[in-house]
Amino acid sequence: MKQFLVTVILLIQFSFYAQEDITLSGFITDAKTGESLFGVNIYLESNPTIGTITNEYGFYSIALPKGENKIIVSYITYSTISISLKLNESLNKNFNLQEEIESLDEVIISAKKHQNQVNETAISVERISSATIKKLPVLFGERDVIKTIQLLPGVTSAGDGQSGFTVRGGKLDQNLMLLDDALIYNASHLLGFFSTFNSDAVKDVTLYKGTAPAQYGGRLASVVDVRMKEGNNQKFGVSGGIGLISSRLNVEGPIQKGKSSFLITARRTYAELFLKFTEKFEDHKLYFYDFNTKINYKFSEKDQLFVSGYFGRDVLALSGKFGIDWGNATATIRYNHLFNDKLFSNTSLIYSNYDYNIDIDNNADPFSILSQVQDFNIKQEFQYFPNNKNKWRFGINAILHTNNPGEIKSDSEIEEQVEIRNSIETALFVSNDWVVNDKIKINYGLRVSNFAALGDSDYYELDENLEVTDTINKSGIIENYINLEPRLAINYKLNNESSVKFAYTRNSQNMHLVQNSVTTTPTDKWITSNNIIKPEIGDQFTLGYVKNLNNNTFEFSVETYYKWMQNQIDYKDSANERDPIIEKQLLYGDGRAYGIELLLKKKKGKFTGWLGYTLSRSEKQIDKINNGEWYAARQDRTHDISLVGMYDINERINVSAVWTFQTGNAVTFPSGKYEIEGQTVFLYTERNGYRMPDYHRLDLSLNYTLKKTENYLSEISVGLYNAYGRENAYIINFEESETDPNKIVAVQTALFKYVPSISWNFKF
Amino acid sequence: MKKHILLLIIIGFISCEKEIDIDIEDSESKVIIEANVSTTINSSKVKITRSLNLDNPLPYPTVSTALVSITDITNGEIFNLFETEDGIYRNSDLLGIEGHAYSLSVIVDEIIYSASSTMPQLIILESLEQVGEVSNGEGGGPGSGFSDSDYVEVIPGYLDPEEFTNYYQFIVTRNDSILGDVFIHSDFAFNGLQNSRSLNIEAEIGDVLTIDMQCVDETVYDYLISLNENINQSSATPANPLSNLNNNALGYFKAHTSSTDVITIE
Repeated sequence: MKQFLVTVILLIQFSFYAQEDITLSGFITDAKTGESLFGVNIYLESNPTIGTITNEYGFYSIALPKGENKIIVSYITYSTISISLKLNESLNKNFNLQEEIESLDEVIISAKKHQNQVNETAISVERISSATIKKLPVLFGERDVIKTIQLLPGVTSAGDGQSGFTVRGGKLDQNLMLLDDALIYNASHLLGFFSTFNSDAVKDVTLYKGTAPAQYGGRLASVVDVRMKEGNNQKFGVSGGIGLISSRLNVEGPIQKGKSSFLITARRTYAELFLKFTEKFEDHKLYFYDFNTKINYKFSEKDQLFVSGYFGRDVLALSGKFGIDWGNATATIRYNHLFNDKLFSNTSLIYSNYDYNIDIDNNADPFSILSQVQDFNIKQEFQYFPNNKNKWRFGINAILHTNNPGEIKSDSEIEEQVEIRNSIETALFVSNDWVVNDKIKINYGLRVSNFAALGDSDYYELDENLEVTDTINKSGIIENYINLEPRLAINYKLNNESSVKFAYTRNSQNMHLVQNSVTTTPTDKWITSNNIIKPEIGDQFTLGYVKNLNNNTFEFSVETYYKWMQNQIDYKDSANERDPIIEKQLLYGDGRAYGIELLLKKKKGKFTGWLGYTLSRSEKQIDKINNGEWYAARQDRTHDISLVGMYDINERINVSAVWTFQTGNAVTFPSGKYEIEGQTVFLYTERNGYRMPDYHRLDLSLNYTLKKTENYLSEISVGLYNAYGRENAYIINFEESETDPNKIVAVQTALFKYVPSISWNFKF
Repeated sequence: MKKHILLLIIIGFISCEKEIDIDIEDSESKVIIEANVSTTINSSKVKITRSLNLDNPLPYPTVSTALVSITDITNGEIFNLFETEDGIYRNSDLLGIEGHAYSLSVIVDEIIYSASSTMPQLIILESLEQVGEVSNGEGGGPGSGFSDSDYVEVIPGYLDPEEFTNYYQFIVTRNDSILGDVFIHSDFAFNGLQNSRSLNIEAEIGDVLTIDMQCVDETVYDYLISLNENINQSSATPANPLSNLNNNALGYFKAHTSSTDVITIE
């Protein structure tokens, strides 16, 4: 710890070489809403290499020479500010940017230098800001950022009716999903139809495909950092949508104009109303609701407080006999403080909770099962801007996890508790964005993570056959793991249009989801590292090339990656998921994933969109599975294609189409049959030796603006999910053929054939 | 066919089913052994069959040339079993004794398959009690499935002895035919208690259900759990059931007690 701090201080001093520059710093906000803007460029007109971008709170700090300076402040879809400042001493200056009228973008943008993938050091990153969210395709009447991310190369949806997505051959649990820094353990609603992130409340989303800088950690495959809007601090406003499947409402406004604001959004689906039409499903329930809320207050130019929260719940019930509900709840308190014009601090206190509850109401002995993961998290981060060539971030983070995998309660005397376990995850991190010269930018950093499994509950010792040989129950630390996670990203700019990038990152993961290999459900179990389960470790190498074509109208990128993963977890053959000692059902081994991703984007014009293609492989090697041979991981997808097109027919009407294709999941199918006590039993020869049929689907949508003025918007959004009615296999079962009982045939169940949606969206 | 409960709901709401073609590779024919040692006269027997490819016509081939013997490890007595029907081997002298350990040896095509199993102490099935009415499977409820059949909940009354870890299998005969469903209990969370859990049985009003409660050892219980998941295709990792037989044979060797009761469904 001490050594670490000394190193950090030395590094910072090293980069702080003497100079006579003046510091210009401040916040940049949207003029109309007062929302801070992330990623705004501020640079010297005479020398654009002297420049910086705003951080996630809209703060910038730039070193400029003394005297007369012409500054450019530019941000995509906003009008550029060009201002002359006579600087004699350090100056604090805030800027308000005006959003441009949409139809003009194409003309203006091309003339300016914008932050784009060519200049960005980070590789395998996608950032979607509130400005670009408006340009996303509409699905079920909403622009869902998570659904959109799944259309990028290297990111694949888990499929119809399944929660989550996989990134670069990683498991579903290897994605770090953050909402205002709070961990979201299950990011989907209604069987994956909707994400937990309501785009009305979302300000921006950043996706790192395994190449995140050192301030992020804890998952191997990706980081999805979602930040909520702060709420309009200039003017009170209401917006929302009323649709066939769901409705939503968003209220925001100033508490004190220009100083503080609030935001409340709510959503509710009511798909179950349709179930009432059929007598069979009369008493069933199927819906979700969620709320986002945020309040911020500016104490002074140097101090600002943000309080935000999320609460969501999904409910499924069958005739009062069986019910399940699940959801996330989070709360974040963040305090920004400016120590001086070069040192920015953010302190966060974060709570997050995921739980599910199952009620089984049989005649004999009704009971319920509760399962919960709860985190208390504290994070202190500093951002230090010594000069224009270096931007440091360093800090500390500590999380207390309480993991209650299952508690059974019933009316009778039966009560059973699977061990509740606590653990503490701490991390120290430091990273620097270093501009070496005009051509080379480097981000380097280190994260030191520590995981301690805490005692005072039962842990087990197992023998080779996974039988319990001893039970450990002592206080203090049962097992402690330290991991050093270096991060490096290099951008070499070949010219103004193209660059080559390289990254190496190591990540470790101590929260693991043991997942049914057939389907994913909200009841999959989260478990923590302990004396038996080791931290998962992933090393990823990425090499990429980006080129802007045709005056930034097109962007082409190609990236290739190789990922090596240690201590990967899988269920043993014939695993019993309900075993209270889940360690008895698990095996461990290595994983590897590699692939190539191609992306061609059209960013400007009446027609925008992208074409993505991924060729990849993801495999595992575990001693007691398939005789220790490498086998395809469930999420191994050879081919993955996404085609996204949006077209503005005129000022009022725009249409979009999304087509996706994926190789089917690797699955285990029987290869033979036999009989036990008159029942047909299946003979299996290999894990994941077969494939689900290929998945493909086309979604269409149309947006029609009824009325649009400065203060009022009314639009109708019509969509058709799965437009050509492809019956994508959700699950495949083997049954006796109806025509020939001698034979066993494969029967596939598909969900969601043609789902129409219509919604009316408004804003005033 | 029963499925994972959550899948069941999802599928029940919005779905369409159809038969599809999947190119399944042929598998090597495997030896299947179903071996029982029981305390009931003439119930101890060993059945030997072979597996088939998925599209092969039935019946399953039986194995007639096997050498079969069962040894009472506790008292050293050896019983040779002989084929009395196609693929079924018996010895009328073989009668299981509570608390004794048994080993099985089966030789087929010069390969020896063996297993051992211990017969637990006898626990008496005191009563059978019907709870609630016969209800349609479409109504839901654990394990009932969205099937068209009727189900009834029956509680087998027995007192679990506190000093042992116990495992139970219930063989249900509906009128005259044995139901293939796997009904099992363990005393995890129920140790030392009078049983209050029900069995959800496919039955109609007027049916006579005969339930044989068999106490089995842990290896047999683990086998039955995985057998159940295999039959229902509900396992996290579909695989062959965990057999107590060696040499990659499939099936089981089960030494079990027996206590039977009868109930008429109202």
